[in-house]
Amino acid sequence: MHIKNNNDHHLLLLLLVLLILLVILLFMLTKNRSSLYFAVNYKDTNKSMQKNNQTTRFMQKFTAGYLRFTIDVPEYFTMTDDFTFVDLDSKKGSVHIGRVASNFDNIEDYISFLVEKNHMQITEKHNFIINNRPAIQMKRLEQKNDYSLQRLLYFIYVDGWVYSFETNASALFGDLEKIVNSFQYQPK
Amino acid sequence: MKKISFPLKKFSLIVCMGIFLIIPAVREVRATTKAYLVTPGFYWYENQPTTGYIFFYNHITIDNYQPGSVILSKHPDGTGDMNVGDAIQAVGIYPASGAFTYQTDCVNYNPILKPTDITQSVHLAPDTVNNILVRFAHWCYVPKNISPVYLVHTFADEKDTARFLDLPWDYKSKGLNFTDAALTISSYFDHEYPLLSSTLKEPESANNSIIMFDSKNRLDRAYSSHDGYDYAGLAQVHFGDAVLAASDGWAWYDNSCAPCGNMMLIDHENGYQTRYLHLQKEGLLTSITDAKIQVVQGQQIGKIGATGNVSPTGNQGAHIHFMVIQDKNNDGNFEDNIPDGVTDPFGWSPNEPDPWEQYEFYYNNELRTGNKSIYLWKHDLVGLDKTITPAGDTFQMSNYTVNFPEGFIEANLVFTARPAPPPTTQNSGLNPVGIGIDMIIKDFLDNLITTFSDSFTLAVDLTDLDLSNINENTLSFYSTNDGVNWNKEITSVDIVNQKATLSVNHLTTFTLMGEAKDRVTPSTTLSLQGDEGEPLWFRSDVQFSLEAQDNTDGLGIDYTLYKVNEQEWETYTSPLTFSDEGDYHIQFYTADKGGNIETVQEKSFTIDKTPPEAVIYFDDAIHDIITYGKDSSKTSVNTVSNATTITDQAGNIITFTSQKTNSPIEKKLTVHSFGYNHIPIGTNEIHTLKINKNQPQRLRQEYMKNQSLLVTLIYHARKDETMIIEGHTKKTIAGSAILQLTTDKGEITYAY
Repeated sequence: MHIKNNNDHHLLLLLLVLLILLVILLFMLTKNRSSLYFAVNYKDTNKSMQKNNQTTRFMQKFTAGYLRFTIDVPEYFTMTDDFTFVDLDSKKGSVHIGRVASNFDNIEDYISFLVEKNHMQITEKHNFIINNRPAIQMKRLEQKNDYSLQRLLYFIYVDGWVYSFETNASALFGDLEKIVNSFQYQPK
Repeated sequence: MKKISFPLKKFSLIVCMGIFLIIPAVREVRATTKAYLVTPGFYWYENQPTTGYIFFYNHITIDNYQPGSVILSKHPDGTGDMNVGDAIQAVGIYPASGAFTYQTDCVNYNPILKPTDITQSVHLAPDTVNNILVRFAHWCYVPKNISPVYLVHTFADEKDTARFLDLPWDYKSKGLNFTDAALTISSYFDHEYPLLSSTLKEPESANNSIIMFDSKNRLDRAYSSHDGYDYAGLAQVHFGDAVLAASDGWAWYDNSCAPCGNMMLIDHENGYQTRYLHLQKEGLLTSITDAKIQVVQGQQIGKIGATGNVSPTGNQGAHIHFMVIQDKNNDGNFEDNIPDGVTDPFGWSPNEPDPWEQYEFYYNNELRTGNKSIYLWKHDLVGLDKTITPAGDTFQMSNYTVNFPEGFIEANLVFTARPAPPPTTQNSGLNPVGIGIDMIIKDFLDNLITTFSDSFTLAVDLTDLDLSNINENTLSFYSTNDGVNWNKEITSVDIVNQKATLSVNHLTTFTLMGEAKDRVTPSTTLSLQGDEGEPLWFRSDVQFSLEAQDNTDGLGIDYTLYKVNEQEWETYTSPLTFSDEGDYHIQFYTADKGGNIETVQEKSFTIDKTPPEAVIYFDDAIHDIITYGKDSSKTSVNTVSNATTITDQAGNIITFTSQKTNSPIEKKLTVHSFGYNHIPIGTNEIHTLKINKNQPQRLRQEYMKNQSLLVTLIYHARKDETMIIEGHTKKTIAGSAILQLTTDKGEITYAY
């Protein structure tokens, strides 16, 4: 670009100054946002994790009206309770909860059936007990366009029902573990 | 005779059409009807004022017109001959257009008009408000006794006309209501995509999850590509149970699909076919393929079996696979609509588009799309969404009955009811009974209405509710608008007939609650058994047991949980034994069947099975040979005569016998024998620590084992150095070194 005269110089200088100001502004905004994010996170953590003698207490106990269970849910989730599912939504992602009426008399066989039918690629699998109920935790790969996600799944076997808890938001893996461990079945 | 300026030729044609187009005024029960009053009826004399020939008119506004029919009739249900006088005309004003006219001549005077469908004459615009002018004219100079006249709009709700299915087994005799039975699903219909009955495979992005009828999310449920609903044991569908026709139609048998097993198909003659898979060979309505037999809804067509592909294999895998197919191309053949005609009888409820309906694919060299699913069940699922009318209505939701009496409202409103979870913030001492009910009433402009001048009735059937921990005298409905503050309502409770009833004129959420019978928390006693030294210090295995007790009038113990150190909470069933040494921190509590939970108790104890060791050395400060204990816990030393005992907190001991000689310049301690926890160490060794201070500024320490001198330490105070002689080795170190003898698992070692 050929600078013809002083006016062009001034214009160029002005543009440069504006560009620098823009960069500074962006930097400041980014910095503030991350600080705010950290502050919000810290506040949420402080409020939501209060140990008592019995269990780690979350801010709300949720009872699913139709699916008949209670769980402890961090306060930053909103709950949707519908016939066949309960959704827990947060800014970090969602947890989906539901159940099927299994024809299997144990959870291991049901999971084998599901893994085969749904062509699941399992990366992890653990058996454990939740409030006296057999349960399985699994991670599987979920194909999402050009990449794969880890999907965390919990299955709990209760009197023929298999309750499932699932999320593909890795930021919620820790929360989901705690939610699942607070699961209590509420028979009629 | 004066004539009205209507274009007669045109109108006469219209009149003829109108007369011949009289159709049954009352539709099937499932149609929706709205009636608009034109006139309640009146008596007209000739000398009353008129506007030209028009002696009466009324503008009618039809809200949100849905394609159907508009009928002129005497009664609001579309029936009844009208007395309309000399002439009546209905004119579409906006955006409706066209007109209907009936007129009589004055010679053969006939003022009676039968219920008339004017839809073909007055064209109304769908999905919007339409204005129609209805007017009466005179020219026959006779008094007129005009009857009531209504415009009755009847339209076929898409949901209403297609809702014809019931579940294919007798769930009611098994004690289930429709919702509980219909939603006890073993395998769901996969809206992404139900291709199981075809040779097509799902795309990889869709083949490891399902999308259900009421959620847009991909979920890990049973199972991908499934094209119907499986019902099994929990839905009270058992091997050998009767399979019933879901609706009227023509049934036939098919066994051409090996994975399907024995299959019955029913053409319902409304564009839908249902299929019933995995049936037993025995009990089939017919086993002759293509022999069609007429059936009615609820008629047995077979028995629950496990033929074809079932999981688990064998009779344990018995279930019904129920599927619905629509004849999309209306050719009477359902086979050519697999898979594109496969339909979910629960419809599709999310706001997002149904992936199945949007799915395009090639099959048998044809481009096809999936199918639109609409709700086909006759019965509603729990959670109502209904129109209530001034005539009054009764609704059932689970074990709730809501009754709105006649005249409760003046215009149609929308009523929605959903199950409400029991309150989590309980009023003091109150326990909820069952789930609650959340009710909303809105007008058609979506305005919420929460209070009414009249009352409606809410009743709950107590039959299946758990009242074991409820003081029945305290049962009552409580209501809330915010889910936090609950107000007690005046409730009539009839325990004999198992019913609780409330008459109320406001909304929104209601729950039945009562005082708990058992409000006393249970208590748990911990017992630790083992060889104990000081309190909670054990030198043996420890047996740990918990005993829970509830109050005398309580409902009994439900469970006891315990936790050891940082392990998970476990249910206590029997005593445990702890063997490993270490510190134990136990937490435990008990809950009773009334939901009372004890505060967590804690106890810590230690297992230390290792006896202490003894350390012997010369303390120059007190000029004496000292013995002390060496252990992970505190020790105490006790010397009586020649016996020295060192005891730790768990009561483990080391004892040794010794002989001590004392003189101003020489001290000697000879250890003859020692043992641990009363078990002597069987050696004949004699260990002697000898201290000699015969020279000032010089301290001599010697250790002999069985009279053999093993080490000598000589400290020179002036030089502040210690000479150490071990055998033939001699070395000097700075400072004063102290010679120590230490027992070590049956041996005695020395150090300095």
